[in-house]
Amino acid sequence: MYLYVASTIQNVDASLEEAARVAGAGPFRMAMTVTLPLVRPALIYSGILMLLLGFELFGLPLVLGDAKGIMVVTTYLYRLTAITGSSAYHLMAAVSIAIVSIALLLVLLQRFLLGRTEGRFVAVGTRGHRLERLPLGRLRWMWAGVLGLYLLVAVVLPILGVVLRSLVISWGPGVDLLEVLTLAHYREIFTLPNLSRAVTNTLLVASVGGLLSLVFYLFVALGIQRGQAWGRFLDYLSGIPRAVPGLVMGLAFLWVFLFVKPLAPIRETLLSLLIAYTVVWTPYGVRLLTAALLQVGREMEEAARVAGASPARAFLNGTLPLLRGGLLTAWFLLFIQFVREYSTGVYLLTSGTEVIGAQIVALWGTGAVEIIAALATIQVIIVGLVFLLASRIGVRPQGL
Amino acid sequence: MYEAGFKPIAQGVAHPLEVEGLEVSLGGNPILKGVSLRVVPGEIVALLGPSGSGKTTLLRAVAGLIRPTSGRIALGSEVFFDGRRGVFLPPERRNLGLVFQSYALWPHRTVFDNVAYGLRLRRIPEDRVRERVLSLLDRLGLTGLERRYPGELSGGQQQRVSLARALAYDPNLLLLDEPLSNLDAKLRDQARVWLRQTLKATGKAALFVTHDQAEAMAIADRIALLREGLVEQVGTPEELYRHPRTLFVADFLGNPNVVDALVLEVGDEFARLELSGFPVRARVMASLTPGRLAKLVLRSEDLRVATPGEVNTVEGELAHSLYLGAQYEHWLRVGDTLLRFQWKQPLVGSRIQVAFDPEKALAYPG
Repeated sequence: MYLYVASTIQNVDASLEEAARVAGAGPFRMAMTVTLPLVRPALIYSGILMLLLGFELFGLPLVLGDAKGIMVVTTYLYRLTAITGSSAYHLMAAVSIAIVSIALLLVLLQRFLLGRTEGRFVAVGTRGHRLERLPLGRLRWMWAGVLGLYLLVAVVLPILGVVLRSLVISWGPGVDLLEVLTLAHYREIFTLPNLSRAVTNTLLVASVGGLLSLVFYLFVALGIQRGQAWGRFLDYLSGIPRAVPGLVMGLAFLWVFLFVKPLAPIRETLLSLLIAYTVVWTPYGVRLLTAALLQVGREMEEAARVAGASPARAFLNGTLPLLRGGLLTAWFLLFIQFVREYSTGVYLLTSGTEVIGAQIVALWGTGAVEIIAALATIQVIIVGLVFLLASRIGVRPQGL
Repeated sequence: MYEAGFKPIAQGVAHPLEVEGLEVSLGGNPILKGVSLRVVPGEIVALLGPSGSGKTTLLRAVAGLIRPTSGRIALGSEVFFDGRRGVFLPPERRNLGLVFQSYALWPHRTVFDNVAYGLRLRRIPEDRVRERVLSLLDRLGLTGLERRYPGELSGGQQQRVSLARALAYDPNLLLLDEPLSNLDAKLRDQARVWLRQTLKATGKAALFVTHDQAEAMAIADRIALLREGLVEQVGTPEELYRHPRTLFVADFLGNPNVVDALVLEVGDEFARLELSGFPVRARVMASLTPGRLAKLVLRSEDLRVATPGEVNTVEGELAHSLYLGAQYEHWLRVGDTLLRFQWKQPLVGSRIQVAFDPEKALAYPG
């Protein structure tokens, strides 16, 4: 949400704000009367997005609430199997439908609220130079402190905790950390076949799978951009998975692979994960690629057409070379999302299709905290490395 | 002087472009509502009009980048589009040259590769490609730039590369979309002369879009003035300027004074009108009704300070005087209208009398 609103604020034409300043508004008043109203659609959009995400959140409630009996719909869905003792597909289907319909309602609400505001809020104009920062005076230090504290508590400490936990045998009051330090958990991961497979599978799905879904998203985005009436239909269609949490989508694909016999062999291959991931991340990926396509003018391709190139050739010669940067960025972002993904794979977990995220969820029930911490650390390291690599070669990992 | 560089690859017979009753709708909105136009080989025609008049749409339809809803586009015997027979030739099979407003040069290719693109698509042997591209670049004053990338060129150079790319494969017709609008004012004036000379030297039919009337008049042999998806008038620049068929044309070309005048008496060629209490004579451009208001078009260069005893004059109070360097621009308040005119000298005194020739003043129904 921060990133989404921040990038919109950066896109607000500086001259609009300057006009307010010249008209006599102070910086604070300007922010309230010009900047905020202009980015209202972005606020609405991301506000509902947060609601959706909160609704679909699965990992956190499972870890924090489950033991105390606090359940949310997603963890309830996950626990259904355990409660009834047998596979309660009918109940699971009912819960899934309930989740999807509420989420769909939210998505439609979002569309409705945004649809009405189109045109009045076109904030992406010519890029004037950025306005000087809002001078906060002495408040600045306080504000920086608050933000720093928040980051420390919300991001740094938990990650450090996880990393530390993965390196010790046990911890608690009175335990000397130096004595319990060990790499045994990592050794375990790389010796147990299902755990080491989880790591390699994750890398495989994220890199090769990410590339394949990128190609798929590119075709969808091209269809949206050029399909006219079909394009609008595709646009809506590609937004639907937003209403389906990864957990439910994973479940749906499990059933598809279980009950549609010709597709059954797919379930035990990574292809099942790849398909499910691709569908779950369609709205995200397609948005990335439509944005990338927008950056490249149609004229480059039209020039090639007029010069005598066939449509496919004109795209390959005129548009694709200019799209490279955008495609690379999208691939990195998809890689990161695919590594972090945990809920979609939960129901598709079979021997051979383990991925780190789903494996962590599965292990949570067994209480193997050390292994989970080690797996999570590996996950953090992978994402961190990719982030580093991305910024090294100049890809801006924006809009995550 | 340019002749040598534009030798066609294969000698083809030049054909006229014919557009008949062309209609185009975009997203359900009618943009062109039945446009007909003919461009003969060697002729430069400008599509002129305010924004939204459909001039770029017409150009893109000829290029094949937009599919019209009905009508016909043909170049000689080759039919590009025929609504009734359902013929639509894709752009790559029309063999046209198009210069984009943004130039649309491929930034990842060198100047040479940009210009050579169309030739290579036509499987011309590489040594002939080289010969052709280099001679073309030479003719367009781009010698030595063939290894550069478009990003390293000035706006004027990019514009010429873009033209070279369009000319390289000897197209049947040249299309130019606002070719000079991205150049700065001074460069544009020189580019007008250069562009007209270059287009003329190719001997090809050229169709170019502009919203700048001065540019259209300077470059084109004929101008087609478009208004809301229809051709308002087609003719030589002088025809349009001197004999505008409608008030819209008269008002669009130049920046004339358009004032209300009461029609007193209508003759065959001239009418008597009353302009803020002054009786004047003006040319009848369309049917006028005595007793009704008419629109009188007075070009600012056709007004002069009256000599004593002159007829066809109006008198007013000097409201503003602007010094423009070569001359002054004076604003005269006549009744409740303002008349603008150019004059070499500053004016003294508050009451000024100006005169105009009846044949230079154009009267249209109001």
